[in-house]
Amino acid sequence: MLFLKYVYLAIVALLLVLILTNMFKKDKFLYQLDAALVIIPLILRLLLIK
Amino acid sequence: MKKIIAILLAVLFVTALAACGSKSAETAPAATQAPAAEQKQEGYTSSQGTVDGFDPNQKTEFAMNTSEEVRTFNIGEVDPSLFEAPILVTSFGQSADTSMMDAIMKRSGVKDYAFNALAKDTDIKNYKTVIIVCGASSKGLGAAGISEADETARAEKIMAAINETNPAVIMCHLGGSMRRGVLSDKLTDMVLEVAKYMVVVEDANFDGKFTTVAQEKNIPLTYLYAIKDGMDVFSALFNK
Amino acid sequence: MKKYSYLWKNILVLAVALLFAAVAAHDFLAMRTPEPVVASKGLTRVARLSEYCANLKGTVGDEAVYVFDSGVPGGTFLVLGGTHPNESAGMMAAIAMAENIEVTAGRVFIMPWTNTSGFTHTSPLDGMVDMFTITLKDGSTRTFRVGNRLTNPVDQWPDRNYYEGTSGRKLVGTETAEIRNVNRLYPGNENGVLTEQVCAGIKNMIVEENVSIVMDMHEGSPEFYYLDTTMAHERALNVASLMAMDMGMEGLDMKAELSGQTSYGLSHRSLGDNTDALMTLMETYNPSMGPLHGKMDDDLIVNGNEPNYYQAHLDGYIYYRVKENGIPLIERIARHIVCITKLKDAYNLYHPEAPIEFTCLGSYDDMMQLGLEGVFKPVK
Repeated sequence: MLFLKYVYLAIVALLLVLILTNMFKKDKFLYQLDAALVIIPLILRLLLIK
Repeated sequence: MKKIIAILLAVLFVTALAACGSKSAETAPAATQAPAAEQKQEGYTSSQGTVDGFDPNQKTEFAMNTSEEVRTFNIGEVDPSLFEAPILVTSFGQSADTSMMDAIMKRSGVKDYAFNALAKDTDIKNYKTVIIVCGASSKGLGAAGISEADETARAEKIMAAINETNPAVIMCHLGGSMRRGVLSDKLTDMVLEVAKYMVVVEDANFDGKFTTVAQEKNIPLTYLYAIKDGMDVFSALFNK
Repeated sequence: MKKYSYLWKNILVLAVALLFAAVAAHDFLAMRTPEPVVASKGLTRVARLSEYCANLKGTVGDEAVYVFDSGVPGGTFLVLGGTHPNESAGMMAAIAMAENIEVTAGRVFIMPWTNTSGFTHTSPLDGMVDMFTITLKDGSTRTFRVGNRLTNPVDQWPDRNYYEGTSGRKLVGTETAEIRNVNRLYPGNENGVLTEQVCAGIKNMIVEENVSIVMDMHEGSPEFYYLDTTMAHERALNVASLMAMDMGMEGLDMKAELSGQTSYGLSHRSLGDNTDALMTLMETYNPSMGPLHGKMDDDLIVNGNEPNYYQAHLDGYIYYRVKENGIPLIERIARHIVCITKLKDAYNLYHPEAPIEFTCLGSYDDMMQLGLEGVFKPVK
């Protein structure tokens, strides 16, 4: 079942990349802030801190 | 305006995510009386496993004669000369209280006694005094590998042997209200037919059962506030 | 080519986000440092659980086992604290013992953090305290963690929808998360999930070290029926009953109760069935574990005073005799240590051929007199 954990982390990494990409495409500050809020827990999860 | 609200909300969320905990250095005085939020614990189950089916939250209010200050209470007067060694301690129902009775006997300094929770009818003739600890426990029966029907049959055989050899019988009920139920009461009632003395943790008398029996059948009865209070009782009874 | 007109704003926002992540990470990672233990002079070695289960090597489950060997032949006592990291008195009592015990016959093994991974996280959305601090006699402070009942999902994931470990217990429905509960997976599996490996390590240690008797220290919410109760495997019932009697003589309520035949996976059942050790488990009162408590802070953890529970007791909704001023942590620690000492005495009465002798902090009154500030040693 360990492979599931790596699949999950890969999904988290992909999500992170997509959010970052999208964030850099946005003009409005509010969208950038929203993206930043979501990035924080994703980074913590990707690094297996939380 | 919307941007300001959004930014404030964002700061609030981020602060919460930054895991601010309470790290006060000093112990504070008494806790506040704030209403409690329901605590959700991940898949919490009892750490003790199965329960015997007793509902501890069912209120049973009755006036007790014993308390923290008054540890024992007697109805009638017991004659210690009736109870001679050798003594057998056994169980009807296989509850853990039987082991507590063994502990009471050890700490009371009683020397000439045998402990056998699964004593047979053929053992009874070897003893002048038989202490029967009443209280049914599904855990105890399971641990002993014995069914309720088998335990009842064993009890009936022992009662028949007691009727033949006539040892002095002491009925002990040490489990409190938790050890009252259909099987427990059935086994207890068997012993009450022949008992010459009763020792009961008073919590079990919530319906007045034991007081009524003591008065109707003229059997001396000692109520205990807690199991450990039995030590003085049995020490006085056997270390005469 | 797209124009990134607000690139500098993006970078700034991202930098702020990373800063917040770093601050949060610092807090979360702080929970991975175990509390220092100022072990008493009698400490002979600090074993690791991987010595008994090789798969634990290099993992968070490779926890410390403090070994106190008197050098005098006798029995072996294993003390398990921190099986459930949110039950603070268990860990604290184990650390207090490791810092104050003097063993004069036989051996004592102490594990303060039986579920090490559980100490690295709290329960999400519960407003839990992650650490609390006490002040010692010399004015210095010591900080202890309050963890989660279960292994951190960062260390063991996913939880299966159905799992049957070596105990035969079926973890399904409301028990799916219990695959991360040390006290549901005994006797464990060396090749199983992390928590099972920890259980296997403990079971192997009991067998290889010929452990005579085990006490697994726990706490329960005020609604729990078996507070101030010691659960005992049937082979340990006589010893536990005698201990309960002796506790009663000291004025400390204690009941001995038989371990259920179907309590699969729990230490008192499954370790009792799969080893020769006498298995016991004790519970004390902890108001921070129940749903009726107010704000969770150092005061609730250390002083154990929750007026809501006292009122609930007065109203007849709580069977346990809650005291008006609560039951402070030092009282619960003292109760655990006195129970272990009395259990040792009872064991010696039944097994004089392999005695275990130790002293630790004196009587219950001695420990109450010392308080938390005197029981725990300053860390230098």
